[in-house]
Amino acid sequence: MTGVDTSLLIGLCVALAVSVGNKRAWGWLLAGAASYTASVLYWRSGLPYAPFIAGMCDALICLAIYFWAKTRWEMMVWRLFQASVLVNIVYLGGTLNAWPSPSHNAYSIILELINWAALLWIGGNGAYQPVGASTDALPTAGGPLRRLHRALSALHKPRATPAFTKAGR
Amino acid sequence: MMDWPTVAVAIKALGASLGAFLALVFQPPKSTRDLLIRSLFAFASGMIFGDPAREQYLKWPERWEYWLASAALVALVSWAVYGAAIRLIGAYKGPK
Repeated sequence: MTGVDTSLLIGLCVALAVSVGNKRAWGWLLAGAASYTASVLYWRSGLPYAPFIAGMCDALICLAIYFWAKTRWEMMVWRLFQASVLVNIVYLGGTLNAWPSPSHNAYSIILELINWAALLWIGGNGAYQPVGASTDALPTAGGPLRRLHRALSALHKPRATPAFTKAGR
Repeated sequence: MMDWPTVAVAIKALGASLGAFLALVFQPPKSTRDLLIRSLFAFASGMIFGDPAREQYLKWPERWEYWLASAALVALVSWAVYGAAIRLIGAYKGPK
């Protein structure tokens, strides 16, 4: 394991710890971890077209979120995985000389940023759900904490969803 | 053992399927009907226009990776491109 893997693993453990009891947050965290592990194992085995495999893993999670996500904050995770798929497609095209290839460092850094953004977002919302259920501790009705609470609680409302997905059931 | 044209068609079909799948990731369907229509449309576009796009516009070499990639790319962008074209034509014609 490299330092990057270790730091992501620590971040994953922290995100899992702060979102204990939130099954949806745990589900997306573990799905993301599985995607990362599969992509990294494929990449390090030296097999060809690794960005393609990474992109397909993320694409599967993207569709899973689209079909099963219930709340608005989960749809932001969907956007993050969409961005990850796009980055992989652009890099894959570059490695095939379809267009000028972005540097491997830029590719890795962007994917790491997306991974960390997903960890922070899922962990933060997983932690907020039980904490935000109570407004007793919040001072003054019009204060900044109340406004922040209102903004965050909007993320936990049901998302707009097509009738045929399982999210509305 | 499959002959070479069959393999080539299979590669292009795989590329078109992957492109159709990825198109759903970027523009999710609103209903089952939408899902089926767009998947079939993207697949057909990849199969029909993948090769002409590769040869005429993209100028990619004659290798299986590029057959697959061109079919996937065409399938990926087909719905958005045709949608944009229809809107442009509609805007050009003006309201009825």
